[in-house]
Formats: sequence, C-alpha cells, structure tokens
Amino acid sequence: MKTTTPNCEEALHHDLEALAPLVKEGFARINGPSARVLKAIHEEAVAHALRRAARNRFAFIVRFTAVAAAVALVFGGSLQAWRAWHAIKPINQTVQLLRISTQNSTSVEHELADSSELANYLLSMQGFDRDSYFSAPDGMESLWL
Amino acid sequence: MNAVIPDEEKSDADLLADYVKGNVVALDLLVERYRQALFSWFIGMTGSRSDAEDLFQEVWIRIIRNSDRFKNVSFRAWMWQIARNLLIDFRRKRKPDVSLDMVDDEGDHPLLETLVAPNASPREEAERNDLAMRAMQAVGKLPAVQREVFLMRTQGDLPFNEIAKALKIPLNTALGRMHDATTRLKKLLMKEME
Repeated sequence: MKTTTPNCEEALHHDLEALAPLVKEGFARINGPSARVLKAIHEEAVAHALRRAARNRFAFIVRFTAVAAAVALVFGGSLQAWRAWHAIKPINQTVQLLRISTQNSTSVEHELADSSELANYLLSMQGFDRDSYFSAPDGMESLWL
Repeated sequence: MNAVIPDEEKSDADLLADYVKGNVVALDLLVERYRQALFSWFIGMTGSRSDAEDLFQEVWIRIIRNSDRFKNVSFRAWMWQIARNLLIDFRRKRKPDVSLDMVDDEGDHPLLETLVAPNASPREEAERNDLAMRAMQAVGKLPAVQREVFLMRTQGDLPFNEIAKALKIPLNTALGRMHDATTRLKKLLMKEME
C-alpha cells in the first residue's frame, strides 16, 4: 500500500487544521464518562493506595526482622567461637607439652646414637672393632654395656 | 530553594509518582487531564457510550495497578498503548467494528442523538451542533485503522511519532493512514454538505 512520506506532513497539517477543530467540537459535546465511572476509578485508586501502604508496612517488618536475625546470627556465632576457643585452650596446652616432651626424648636418643658412632670410629682408628675389643679372650661374651 | 510546584503544573510522570507515594488526588488530576481525550477516542472507536465507559475505567484500573512498575518513559504513550491493547481485546471479544451511527447499548437512540448541546435553543448553536454531528458521523465511517490514528491525533493531541509508537507501526504508515483519513473525511463532509 502506498504511504505518505514525511514530506507530505505539511499538507497533512493543513488538512488537520481545518478538520480537527470541527471533530473536536463534536466530541466535546459528548459528556465525559459518567460520575459513576469516575467514582469507581477514584475508589480503586484509594483501595490500591491502601493495599500498597499495608504491603510497605509488612515489607518493613520483614526487612527489620531479617536485619535483626542477621545481627543475632553474627553475634551468636562470634560468642560460640569465643567459647569454643576457650574450651580447647587447655587441650592445646597439653598437646603442646606432649609435643615438647616427645621432641626432647627423640633428641636424647639421637645423641646416644651419635656417641656410639663416635666410639666405633675411635676404635676403628686404633685397629680395633667394637665386638672384639669388648670381648674377653676366653670367651665370646661381650663386655659391651 | 525548592519551589513547590502546584499539582496542576506537574508532569504526568510526576503526578503518577505522587500517587505511588500515596497522594490519591494526584491520580484524580491525571484522570481529569485525559478524561475527554481518552473517552472521546473510545467513543469514536466503539460507537457505544457504555463500552467506552467500561474501557475508560479499565484503562485507569490498569494504570493504577501497574503504577509501581511505571518507568520514567512517556506516560501519554504508555496510557495510549494500554488503551489500544484493551480495544484490541474488546474487538476480539465483541463486534469486529462499529460506527458512530450504531445504536447505544443503554437506549434505542443512536449515539449521536445523545450529544449534549449546552445552549441548544439558539439557531447558531443548533447549526454548529449539526456540523459537529456530521463531522463525527464522518469520522465514524472511516475504517478503524484510519479512525484510531485520526482520533489519537485530534483528540489525544499525540504527535505522529508517539502515535506510531503506541500503535507499533512505522511513522510513515501512521502518516499514510492519517493522509487517507483526512482525504476520506473531506470527501464525506463535502458529500454531506451537498
């Protein structure tokens, strides 16, 4: 279908200037919507505004409760963590002490092992070995303590 | 300093925002602002006062219920889009097309006979009334697609780009329909005058 281009707009406005007031006048003589319709719209507007206000109040309560619950959760969690830390503190100390004592016994054994190696080394330098040096000539009984 | 703008001078979007904040008077003002244009458009499109009233009421109920979701676009374009969608639904459910010659649902008289002439007694008033009635009758004879564009422009004072947006058609199509409508109206009115 052939359509007009924006270039025709001027001619269109010219036609409209003649026709629009006449048509507008005709429609203006029709009374607007009845008072009943306007009242119904107003009542719906009031009812909706009230519903919205109630919804907003409810939303405020929900938001407030959510914030309070979050704060309580953080506070409760912190308290629980603090109490737990205090409860395991003596256990930690015991574990620490045990670890220290274990470390000490290991170092003594290590030292002992080191000294026997040194004794072996000194004996080997003199042409002896540990088993023959600490053995009695008449028997194989070891004198090694 | 923030000057307080009287409600009458506020933009449509501001009035709707005021209503969303709880000011019902702002919505009443908005209804009043578009009362004549929107109602005339529905009268022109349906040819029935009672249907026009139902549709007019439904448009405002939809605006009220969706007022929270209104984004800061053109209120006028939004309102006309709602009006058009409702008219499409109405046409689907009811008669395919109607003219202003049709009988009103509420009575036996053609709608145009219910025109109110405030001071009908003087002869001039009667003549003007007659001419206006003829013009309306001619509008009623336009095809629906031309009539809706013509009435949106003349009754709603919508610019063509907003008409195109509301009807979801290209601007040139809107201009074309308007051109066809005015040409046809001129012919119809001339015929009436003869």
